[in-house]
Amino acid sequence: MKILPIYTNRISLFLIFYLLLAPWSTETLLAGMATPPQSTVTGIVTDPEGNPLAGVSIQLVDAEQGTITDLEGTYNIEVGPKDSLNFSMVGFKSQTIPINGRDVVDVQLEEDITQLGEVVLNAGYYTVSEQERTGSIIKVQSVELEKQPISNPLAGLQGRAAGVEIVQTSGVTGSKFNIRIRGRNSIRSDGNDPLYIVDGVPFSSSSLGEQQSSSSVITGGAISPLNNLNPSDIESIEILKDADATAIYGSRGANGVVLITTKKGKAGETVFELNILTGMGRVSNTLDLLHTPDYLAMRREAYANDGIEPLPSNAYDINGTWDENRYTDWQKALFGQTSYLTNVQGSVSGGSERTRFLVSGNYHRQSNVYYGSYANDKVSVLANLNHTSKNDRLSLQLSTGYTSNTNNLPATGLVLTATGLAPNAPELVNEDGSLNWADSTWSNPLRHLEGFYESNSTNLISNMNLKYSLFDDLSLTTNLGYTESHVKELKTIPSTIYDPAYGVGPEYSSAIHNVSQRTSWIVEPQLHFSHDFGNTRLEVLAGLTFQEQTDDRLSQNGQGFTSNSLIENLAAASTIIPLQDVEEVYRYNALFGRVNINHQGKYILNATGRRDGSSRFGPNKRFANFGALGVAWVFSEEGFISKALPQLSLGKIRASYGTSGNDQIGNYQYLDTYSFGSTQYQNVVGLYPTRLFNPGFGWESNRKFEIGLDLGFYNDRIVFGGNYYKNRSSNQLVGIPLPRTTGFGSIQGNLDATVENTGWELLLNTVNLDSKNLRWSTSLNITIPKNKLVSFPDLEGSTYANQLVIGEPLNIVKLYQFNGVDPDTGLYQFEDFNGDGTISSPDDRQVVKDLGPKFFGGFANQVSYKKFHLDILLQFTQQEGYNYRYSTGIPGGMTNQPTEVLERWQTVGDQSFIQRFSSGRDSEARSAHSLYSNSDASVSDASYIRLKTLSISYELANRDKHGFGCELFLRGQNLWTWTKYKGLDPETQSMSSPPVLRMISLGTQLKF
Amino acid sequence: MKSVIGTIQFMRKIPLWSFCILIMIITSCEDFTEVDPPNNQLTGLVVFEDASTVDAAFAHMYSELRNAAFTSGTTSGLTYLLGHYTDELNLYNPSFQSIEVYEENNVLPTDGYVQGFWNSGYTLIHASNSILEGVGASTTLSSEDKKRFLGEAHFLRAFIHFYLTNLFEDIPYVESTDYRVNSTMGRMEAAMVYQKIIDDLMQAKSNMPMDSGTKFRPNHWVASALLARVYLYHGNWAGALEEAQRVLENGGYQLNSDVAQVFSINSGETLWQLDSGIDGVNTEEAFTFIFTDGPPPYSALSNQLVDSFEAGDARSTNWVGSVSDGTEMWYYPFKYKVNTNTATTEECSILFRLAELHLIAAEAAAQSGDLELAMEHINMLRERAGLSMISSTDQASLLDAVQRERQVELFTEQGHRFFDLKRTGRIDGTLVPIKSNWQHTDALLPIPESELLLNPNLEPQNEGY
Repeated sequence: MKILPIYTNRISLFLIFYLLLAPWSTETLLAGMATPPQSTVTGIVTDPEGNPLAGVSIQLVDAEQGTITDLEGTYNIEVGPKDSLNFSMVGFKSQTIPINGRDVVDVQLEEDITQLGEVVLNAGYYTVSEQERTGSIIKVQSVELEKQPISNPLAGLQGRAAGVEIVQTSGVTGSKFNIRIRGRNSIRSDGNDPLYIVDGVPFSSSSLGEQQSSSSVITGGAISPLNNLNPSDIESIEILKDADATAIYGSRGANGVVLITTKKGKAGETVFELNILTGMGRVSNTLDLLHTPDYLAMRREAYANDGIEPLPSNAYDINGTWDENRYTDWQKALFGQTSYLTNVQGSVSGGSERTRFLVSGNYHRQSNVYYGSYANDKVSVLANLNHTSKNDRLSLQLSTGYTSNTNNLPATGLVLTATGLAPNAPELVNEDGSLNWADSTWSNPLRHLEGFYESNSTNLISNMNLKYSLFDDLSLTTNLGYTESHVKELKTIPSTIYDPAYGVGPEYSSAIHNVSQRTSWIVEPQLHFSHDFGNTRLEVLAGLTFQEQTDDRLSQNGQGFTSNSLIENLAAASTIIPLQDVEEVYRYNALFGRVNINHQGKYILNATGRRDGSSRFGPNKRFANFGALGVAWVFSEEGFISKALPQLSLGKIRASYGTSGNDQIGNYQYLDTYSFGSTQYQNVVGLYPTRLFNPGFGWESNRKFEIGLDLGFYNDRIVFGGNYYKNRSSNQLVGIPLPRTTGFGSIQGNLDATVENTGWELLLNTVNLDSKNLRWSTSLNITIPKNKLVSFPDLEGSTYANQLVIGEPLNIVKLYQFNGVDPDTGLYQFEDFNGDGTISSPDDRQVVKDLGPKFFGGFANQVSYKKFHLDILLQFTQQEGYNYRYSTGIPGGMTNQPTEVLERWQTVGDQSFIQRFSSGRDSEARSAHSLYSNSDASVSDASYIRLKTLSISYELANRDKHGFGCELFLRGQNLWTWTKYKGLDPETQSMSSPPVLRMISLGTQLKF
Repeated sequence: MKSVIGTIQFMRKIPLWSFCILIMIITSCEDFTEVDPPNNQLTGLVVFEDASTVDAAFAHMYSELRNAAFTSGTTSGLTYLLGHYTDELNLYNPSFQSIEVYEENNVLPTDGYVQGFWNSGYTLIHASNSILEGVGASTTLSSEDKKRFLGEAHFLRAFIHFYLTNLFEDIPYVESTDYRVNSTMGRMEAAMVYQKIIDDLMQAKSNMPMDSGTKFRPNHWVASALLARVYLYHGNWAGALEEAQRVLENGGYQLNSDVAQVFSINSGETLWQLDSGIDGVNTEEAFTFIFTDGPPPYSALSNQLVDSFEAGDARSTNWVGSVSDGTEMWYYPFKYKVNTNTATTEECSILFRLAELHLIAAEAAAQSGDLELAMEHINMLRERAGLSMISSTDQASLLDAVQRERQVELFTEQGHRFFDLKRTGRIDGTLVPIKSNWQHTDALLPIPESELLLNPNLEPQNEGY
């Protein structure tokens, strides 16, 4: 394991940095005092696309003089060389630019996001303005993402996008975020992920990791590929939700589409930007567990209750073997380390009107909370180039991003062990530093750290977009993309993880090596036509997609070494067993189009469609058609309304209906095959039936309906958005669970079941205060989702009979009903629904609990006061979830317990909710506890309000005024959580992985 | 205005050439989405074209039996778990709670190991049925190969069902790969299951070769030996005796005179053992059981078992290992002695060995009243163990002697102890005094709860769960 040294004294590093910079800024400030001679300055003002802007007002700062740009966007004005010019125009952000003695000052204005009409949304194959969109598209911009010290872009969307539920699965670096856009459409628990597109290139979110090497470390299977995208390189993320926006993605749009656009260079001076951030964090919560005296008393009481006398020889915690005065907070010891974060981002951007560029580099390192030193190191580079030919006919956009990501983790997570270990368990390490096995009386948890897990992944995304204008109204565009990902994983299991009493040596060590790669290319030729017929504007798009993705994986298990120091070297293994050697090809082919008719900016009709073919289906089921229609009426443009309601700056009603599909089922599922196994017998590698054979399954179809209202008041200072959606997914494509008597756990097939997702999404953005020095804006979004299984023919007779209920959500569990503790026996009691005298499954598991969210959302506030800027994001969810009772051992057994168990039943007549202590040797108590874990007692409120982001920044120097910019910031993530949840974290709801981290970071941004 | 006209003129041209391109592309679409099967899979038909790929399909089943299924020597196999469940092994490691439920006879329907027995069993049954169907339909395999494959697949199907019915009693007997049938199958009465097993073994016996040239694949004699065991469990004494004697007389196997060598790879009394897969690797059993320091890190032999050896029993000195910390002594199963890798494999997990057939013959003879013959068979094993000959004229005491002999001969081998106690009705009498939680209904394991949820036809659950 190679781990870079952690910089121990970051704060002092900063201070030195700031001191060095301070003289610069004062010098520049003083320089502005002189009174120089006048001269003429000329220049051209353009929009972000490079088009000249007419009518831009140009004002000399602190003086009366001013001018405006002409039709070509040019201007000239008499100024002194040390003056500054202020450029302003409605719909664009004002800019103040010092002349610094130049004769030519070219300016590119940025769009002002509060002006809805001017916000341009990326809808994938086309762009549309916020005002004229017919579909449901949410845009999250870099300014919002940048406020958070995150390494996965999805983390930045939490609480910011209505209708998008994002849940972090673990506090381990590099772990996965689950995302559901407008609920769960598929009965399958997987296959609900959206389609990710990075700069026009589909990005597969399925992990390349090998299950066997990463599954015990990271919840959710493996490291998320999305972790390979650097959030600070992202300009914006657009989320497409409804049929109108997603139907053009056809078979892959059912679960929504996430479009990620990277930053591009801007014309003008070359800008250097440097961003340094360091931070630290810890797990946001630990459980209140028993301390040694209470724990030991519990254990003794348990044995007394069970009538076991004398204490068994293996009750080491209380029979005198272990020191009864010891106490260790195992949670702190095993996953209570401070996680250190370092993030350095540098970029250079600039260019001319015709050619713009941006190059950026990022280094990110975050250490883990586990005992020992484990960390995630990422290095990423992004290069973007845009060029437009002199005659404006040809434009070209090239972007390439590369990330190298190294994640080091212990071979097995320690959280479950830490919460269960007896508080008086022995010392972890002996004085000489070796593991303390305490005469084989325990399995030292640090044995897991003898082995390690390391993943090295690299990821390349490259895209070229060529656009050629054939005529004024017709252009040919080709989107070309290539991605390449490599993952190298190593998990070691040295013999030292076994108790030395076993007497096994390195010949029992093993190491799993996995090398995977994924390459994909995409070609999308398109024709764009747009023409103004007087009052009506017509836009037509037609295109084709060819895509191929090839996954290769070779994983091998090396066993038996002459020394554990050679364990990382496969060549040193005495035996090498190939676990998997697979090459899979996925091909995808489509024809898509769009027709958009816009009459006077009032009546808008948008029709989209796609014909898709995917190699994931059997020969006769490969192709399908998808389409959608969206309409919008911008009633605020109607003369009578704008007269009657002059304060209404935007009023729009829109609706859409259409279909999209889902092909997330994995490759080759339709084939009847035998696979090669990983084990040998008589020098022959085994062959086994891969799956139950069903070639006839087809697309899952998803019908989406939406109606929405968008309102803006007082020049969009108050913006309200409300959507109602109703999506129905039918012909459900699932691995239908089967009893194992069939030889398999499931068969791939279409189920004639329908799942409905309905919901309300409400959004309110307001600018509460807007004065020269103080600006305060608020943004609130709430989603009230409802998920329902509408129909399922013969549910009772199907293998889903005990998992699903018609009329209830998919995310339900059926549980026993907990009726408290029997005051006479001291044991848990449950409702005997079928009255047969015993509590058994499935008949007595009749309580239905919905584990999905009732509502969720976010509340963001931005306050700017002079040079201070404050950002607060609160994220909230109301839901129920499994609590710690679901997974903790029997109270009284040799596992530590939450303090609530002290309320247990003790004598006849006690009213309690915790049964009498038992060592676990009493079978009645043990089975009562097992039922309890599966009863409604183990599901409870898991709602929370979390201060997701708190960011304070101070602008020390402004680049426009001082020649260089410097901003200091303090950022916090997950600083505070309000919850009644009984467990580690209401978000992850996991007892086997660390809760999300509470991070505080300090940073600076320099621009010059 | 000019540009508008230009555009309109151009638009007139569009339909023609774009239409052509579209037609071209759409027709090529069908081919574009056509992909070859992945490089790690063979289509079902290809597998059954050639004997070597059918052999590979069997190889997978045997390596599963060795590593993963209920027959494995790991801590999730019958040997280890049923050893704790009865009176052979004691658990020392307090953090092994999943094993403790076996030691304490508190197994629940949600138990992961129970699920493992069930799942691994039926997965392999599916694999056997898949071979039976594939080989049956093959037109390219030679009739000789077909015969051998069909026999072997029938044998494996019977072998796995035999263990399942002894663990769960009434079970579905799965004979096809049709998931529509198999997913709704109810439980067949154990007596019927036995009849099916016997039918399959008859098929196996007549099709399997007398000598397959290796002990890593079962042959005719192994089928016969399993049939003898099946008859014994089922109370068909004449059948059991006949099958056992056929193997003993004609199979060409000999008891190994050296007790220490019984479990070595070249032991003459082995009928069927599982290849280690990799040369130099030895058994999972040795890794599971052997320890070198006390107290035992996981499990050790129980006092009941250690005390049941008569003084001077060579099996006690050769098959039981011991560790002492100076004050206390612990014992472990030492039948398999090599727990490290060696230059070439020295021991393999044995599923059938001749000693069991002597015990079957002895018990069947005693039950049929042929006490002389019974004593002859027992004494062959006692003689080898260096013990005195027994002689008895009382059938009951002779049957007791057979069971005592089985206890010390077959300990920690594939759950023999548990099955013997059950089938002879001795289980409650033996375990109630030493197992505080033992109940009569514990003689059966629960049907996995997830199975009952997915297939209600499997109800009712076994009593006591």
